[in-house]
Amino acid sequence: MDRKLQKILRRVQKPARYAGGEYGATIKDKNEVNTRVAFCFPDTYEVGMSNLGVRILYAALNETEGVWCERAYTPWPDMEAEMRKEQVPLYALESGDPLGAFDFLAFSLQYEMSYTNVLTMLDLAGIPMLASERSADDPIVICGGPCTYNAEPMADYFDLMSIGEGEEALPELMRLYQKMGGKKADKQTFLKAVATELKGFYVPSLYDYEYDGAKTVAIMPKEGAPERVTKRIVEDLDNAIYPTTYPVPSTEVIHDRAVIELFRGCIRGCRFCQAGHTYRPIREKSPETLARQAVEQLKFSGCEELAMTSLSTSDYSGLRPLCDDLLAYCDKHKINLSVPSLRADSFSTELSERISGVRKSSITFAPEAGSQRLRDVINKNITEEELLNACGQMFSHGWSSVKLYFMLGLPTETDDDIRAIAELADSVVHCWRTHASNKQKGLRVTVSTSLFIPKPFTPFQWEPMCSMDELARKVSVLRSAIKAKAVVYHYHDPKTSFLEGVFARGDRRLAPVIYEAWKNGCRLDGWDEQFKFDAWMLAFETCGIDPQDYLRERGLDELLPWHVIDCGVTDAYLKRSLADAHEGKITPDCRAAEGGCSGCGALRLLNGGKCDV
Amino acid sequence: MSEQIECKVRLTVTKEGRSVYISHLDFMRVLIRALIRANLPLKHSEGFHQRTYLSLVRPLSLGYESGCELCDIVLTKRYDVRTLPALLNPVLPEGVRVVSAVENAVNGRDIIWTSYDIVLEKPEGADETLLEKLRTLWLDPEFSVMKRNKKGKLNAVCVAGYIRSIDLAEKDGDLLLKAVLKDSPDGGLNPSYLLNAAQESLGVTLELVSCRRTGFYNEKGESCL
Repeated sequence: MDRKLQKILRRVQKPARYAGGEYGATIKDKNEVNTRVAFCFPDTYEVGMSNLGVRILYAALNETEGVWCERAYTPWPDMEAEMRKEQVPLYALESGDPLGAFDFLAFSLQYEMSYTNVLTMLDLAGIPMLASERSADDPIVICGGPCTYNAEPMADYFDLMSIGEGEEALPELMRLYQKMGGKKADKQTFLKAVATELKGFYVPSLYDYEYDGAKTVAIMPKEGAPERVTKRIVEDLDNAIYPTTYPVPSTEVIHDRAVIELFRGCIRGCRFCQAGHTYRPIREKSPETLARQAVEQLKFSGCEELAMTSLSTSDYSGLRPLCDDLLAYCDKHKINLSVPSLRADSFSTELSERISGVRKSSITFAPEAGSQRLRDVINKNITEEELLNACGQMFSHGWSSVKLYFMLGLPTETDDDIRAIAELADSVVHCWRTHASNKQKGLRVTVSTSLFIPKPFTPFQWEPMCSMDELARKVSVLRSAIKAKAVVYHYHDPKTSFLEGVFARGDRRLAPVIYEAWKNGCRLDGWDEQFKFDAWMLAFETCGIDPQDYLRERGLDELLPWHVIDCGVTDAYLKRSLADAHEGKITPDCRAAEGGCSGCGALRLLNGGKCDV
Repeated sequence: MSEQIECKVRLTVTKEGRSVYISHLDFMRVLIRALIRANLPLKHSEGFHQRTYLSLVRPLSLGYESGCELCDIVLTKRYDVRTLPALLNPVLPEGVRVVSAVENAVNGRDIIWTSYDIVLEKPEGADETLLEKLRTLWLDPEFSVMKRNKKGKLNAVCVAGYIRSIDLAEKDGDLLLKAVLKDSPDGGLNPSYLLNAAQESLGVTLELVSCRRTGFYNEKGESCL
């Protein structure tokens, strides 16, 4: 590490996040590889090191012959300022080499509010932000992650996008690059080959868009690019790459634990949930594979916590045998086994007790809506009776803290539905009074509301998003309705949700807005203390764009900007589900559906196979 | 009733290269993780939050390196401690290495002095009198600094009793300061106070290039390593 960087690191907060050297980081001899990839996570080190997808793809790329994949993260503003002052370009942690020296910069777009961080990282690396301005000597800039289901607002900044699961797709990309001669190949020729020979890659420069006012009216592929890019999936998760060795952070990060991924996809079909639709079809890992992966990771990392992750853990068919295996190991080695929230309709006190052991901290449920009517509209098939049964069991076994997650701004929502949230919380309090085994501990009920964003590839993608004023009004209706002392209310700031909605539903005309906002000083917008809403609004004004245009209702026959992507679930299914929503009809989950299939269309992505329902 | 066997071990550990940026608390976590990876029979505290017993005898400031951090652990069975470096070194991050492992080490309370090798950038425009001015400042019996006491209150403290020796020379265009400073359980002097004093009293900014802890000594000046 050179003296200049050493001096800088003495002057910034948490310098360990810029130093590298972690146990488990992959170090190769750069003279023995022919393709260098910098995996760029557009947020801080603490956030990026907690991300499972990055861990998986880091391993997948490093196991590809001739490839060395390293890591880079967005610097905190103090470090960015020092780097600019001392003219130190953004570098990868493993080698310390500047990002400009790499063949690929691979960004993971997890959240719309990280978009300005992409620009920060490109600028700090000395790489032109616009794809059209980059030369043959510049790295190829790619992205993946959940936002790529509609990353049109960022399309001008990327050479290509990996849609769906990257474990197999990214190594294929590397092999094609190597076969075509690496940096010697003409970039446009390479991009065209990616679009036409590989599956699951979207090359924005090969598509022209036509707009009429707020609407997209045409998406025109060029040079043989496919009309729609179908996402990639990994069919056999048991045999797919999954890292049991990985860089173990030497400094505190948000989630520092071993992680096992139980399955992908979700059977439930909640109508607001993008992930539940875009990760279909459902594919499970076997309990044996998961137990092995868990133990190997724990032995490698020395972590004292193991997390089971999926979209709906209580729906994993092998949950009980897996927990039996893991709890035996975890108890013996003093490891904490954690699960995210469990559904109230499949809640098991026995399971929760075994997992939490003697210590009973808080338990979380996500009813999402206060009234049964609205829960039916959004297809969150949980009844009040199921929720209160689960709470009653919990309280009688000694739990005294409940978190309840809801959304505000859902389609068809009325003030009565909002007040029903407060009534539901009151029912939970009453349930505690009836069932609590130890009232001396007291009760804490936390009601937390986020704001509904109608996301692409959900049945609600055609619905409008509430205005900020309306969302603020709804928050105040709920605040006034919550009277019980035991109930605490937390809510999200509507401004962040507003911008998230604009970019989630946006098109390419937003690219200059992101740049203007970045020029206005917008950085790390996902962090409250960094978020500058006024700077964003100024950017929209400068570019002559009304953000409200993107939050409007869309016609069912309207061409949506994200239509170029095919996530597997069909438009016909989404429209059917939307119609059912407006009639208050539920769509049964995949297991309960007739014939064991809800007919969403994602099954066609499996080669003659069947969803793991 | 049988007593649980306890084997108290002192590890001497380096903290070099990129690991100098790991904070004190994080460094403890890093060492605990390595102990777990090596599958050692570690003693834990009782109660809900069971913690592994590990203690760093003296903290090291963020950004400083060391060839001799002292880390005390307790094993719950008899162990040939000579095997510990070979067991631990493959499972430690870059820059952290176990140099030795011993039982029956010197009591941490007996450590009174710490030695440092400090490299400073020679300020631009500094003349040949700088070294003498710095020696005079730091070795002045009246030299005092503002230090926070254990209650957080700032007091002027005469540091004469906190400096055992100072050796200052020029080397390769930099200044090399070898200092033995007080580092007892009741208080000590961090090298940064010397640099701050140079700024305040002489108007000289001494940019730190590196600071390396090189040893621990008892009251008599005998090595505790």
